[in-house]
Amino acid sequence: MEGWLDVDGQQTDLDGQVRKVRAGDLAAYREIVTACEAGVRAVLGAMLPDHDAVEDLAQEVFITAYAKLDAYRPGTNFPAWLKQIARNLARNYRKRWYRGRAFRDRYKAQIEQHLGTLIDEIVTVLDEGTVLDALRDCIATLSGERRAVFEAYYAREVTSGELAAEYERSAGWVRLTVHRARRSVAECLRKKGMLPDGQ
Amino acid sequence: MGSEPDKLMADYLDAATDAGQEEQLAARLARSHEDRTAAAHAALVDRLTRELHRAPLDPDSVLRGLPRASEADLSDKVMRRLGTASRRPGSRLPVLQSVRGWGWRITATAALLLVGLGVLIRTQWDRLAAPVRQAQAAVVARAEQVHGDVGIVRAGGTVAAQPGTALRTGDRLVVGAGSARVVLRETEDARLEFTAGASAAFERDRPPTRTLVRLERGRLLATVAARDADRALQVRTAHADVFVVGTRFAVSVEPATTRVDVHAGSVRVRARRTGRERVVPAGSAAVVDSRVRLVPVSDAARRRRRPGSGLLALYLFREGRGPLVRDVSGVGAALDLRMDNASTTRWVPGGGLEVRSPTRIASDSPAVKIAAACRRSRELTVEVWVTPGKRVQGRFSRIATMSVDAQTRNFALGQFNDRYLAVVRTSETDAYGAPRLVTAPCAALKPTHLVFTMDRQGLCRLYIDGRPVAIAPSLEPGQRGRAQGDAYGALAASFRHAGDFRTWDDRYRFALGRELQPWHDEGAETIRSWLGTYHLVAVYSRALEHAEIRDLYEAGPAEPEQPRARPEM
Repeated sequence: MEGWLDVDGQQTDLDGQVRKVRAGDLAAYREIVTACEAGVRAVLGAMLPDHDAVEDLAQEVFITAYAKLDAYRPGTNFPAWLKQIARNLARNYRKRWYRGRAFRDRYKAQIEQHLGTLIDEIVTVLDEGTVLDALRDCIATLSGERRAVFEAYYAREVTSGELAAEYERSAGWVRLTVHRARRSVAECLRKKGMLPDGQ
Repeated sequence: MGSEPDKLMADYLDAATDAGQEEQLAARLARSHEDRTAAAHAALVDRLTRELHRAPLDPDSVLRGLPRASEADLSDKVMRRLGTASRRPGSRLPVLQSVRGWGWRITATAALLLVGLGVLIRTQWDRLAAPVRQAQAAVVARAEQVHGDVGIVRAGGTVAAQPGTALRTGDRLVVGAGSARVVLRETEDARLEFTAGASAAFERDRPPTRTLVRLERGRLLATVAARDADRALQVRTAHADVFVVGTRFAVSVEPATTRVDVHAGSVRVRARRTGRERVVPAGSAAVVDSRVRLVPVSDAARRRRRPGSGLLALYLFREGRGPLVRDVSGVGAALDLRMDNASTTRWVPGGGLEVRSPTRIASDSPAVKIAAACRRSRELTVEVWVTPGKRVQGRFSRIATMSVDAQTRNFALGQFNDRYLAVVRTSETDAYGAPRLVTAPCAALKPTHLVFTMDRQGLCRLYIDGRPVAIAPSLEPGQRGRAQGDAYGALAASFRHAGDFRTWDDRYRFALGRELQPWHDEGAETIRSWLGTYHLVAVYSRALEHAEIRDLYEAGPAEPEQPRARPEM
């Protein structure tokens, strides 16, 4: 089966860990969580309109997977199996989210539904094990001020207003600069084969 | 996606749209597949980038032997919640079902009894075995330097800390007010400096491997060389856990937050209240309350980032215009420097001052704060980041000096031909400060980090680009500078001066670029002008250590400002 690189740089035999968990070794599940966490977060992060929900839902994914572990067939692909659980939970969450906003934020719900349909298609083919590395590489290709603003916006979690004050520009300028950087990064991901062409 | 949808999407992803704009965007996305695709891609990048910054960015530095981030965070929560996760009947997994029904009552009763018994035993044991335990407790660190009132609270009493005093598990360090501070050595290569007002307790695992410093208040500056996983150092405050295996950083406890400044390497910081954590890289700072927020490092923060105690004057050359170079140290009265003739200099965009022809850049008033502090501490560091304008400059060209003229000074740092040199006056030298301490020929037309230190034992050292360089004393007879030949003693790692700074004169001014005035009436030649670009100048009242100097070099001179260019379209 496909191996995952764990935090010590060792190939973790996930099937072996699954067998241990099934034999009653609860600690082995900790290793599964550690090895698969980033991939699960990538899937959930892509699909959820509400970023704050990612961590909670990631827990749900692992708890659900644990409860259903007997359904997993060793020798197939454990990460893919886990990804399917994550996608299902994310879709359910999104449905609730759309419903909750259908009245008070109806246009927001519509926007997210438009985006969600396409993002679902992307996530189906997304290599969640490598997409974050590819993203990092693509961000590194941004140049000059655009990169500085983009990194400050995400890494420091400052608002566009705060960044605008730092750069002595308008908040609109910050938002547009960050957005153009997003589009450059998306184009870079597309060239790397991480995103479909969208045709 | 055209510019209008782009703007709408940019505002939407920043939660800056109103209902009208959202309606417009929704309609646009419904109409155009191209716009929808572009928006989905942008949204995906937005969301994944947020994930990227939540995940550890530098696994090597984060995971080198520390409790694993993901283990400590997410998997812990999962394991806790697994206790209540239901498994379907017939499961082959023992899912903590033994604590259901009567089982939990029996378990709880037994636990209560055990706790009661434990408390009883511990109460008595504490009374009887305290002295023995104290003697056996692991030594966590030893005091290396103690300034002012520093106490160690142990076994109900307080003892005054002295150099060499051991701090053991359970001890509490209390640093007094004013100029009090203490430097501890946790190991040979781990320096912990607590500044005035700090209070901290210490723990070390047995066998002695991991060290926990509970910083209750005040500020800790730590320099920790890279170490193995099982010797990790952890700093805990009311708000944060800071994990480190090899770096330089500072932790400051505020009433509602903890601030972590990372100067080299990186540390993992966790908000204790929520378990949120992130890696704080070199050159960054984080404020921790319920979350860990990276914050911009301003000039003020950068100033704090320099070795905390002992800083007396700091010039970053970021003024960009005018005849004044500001002292931004924030220590005492600012010792600003004024140019005689601003037309002979050029402010470098982004930071720096180029001296193109002989110019005096001097304080208006005597540099009393430098003289007084160094006289007290009996130590000195002069740090400069400069780019020489000429590789060969004549006759001890002054880069920085505290003096009256070419023959009378407290100290000076300069360039002589293609060598760097330093001179410092002590109670055992004449007013010139001979002998001059000279490096081998090494000056180059590139940004250079040059640091001169003298410690209280009189040991003088010069560092170039973070590394100590050999120095040789000049052998000129009479030391009055009349002989300008290359007569030097043997190169050595250091030179020991006798005496201290008690003869330093408070009336001397601090200057860059040339001597304050010609020597007697011997003409302009004796102003000893230096040409080149200044990026940073700092003076400290203590001898910085090699690790600190290396970090300063690695941190570079003052960070350039982002250019205010038009946005890329």
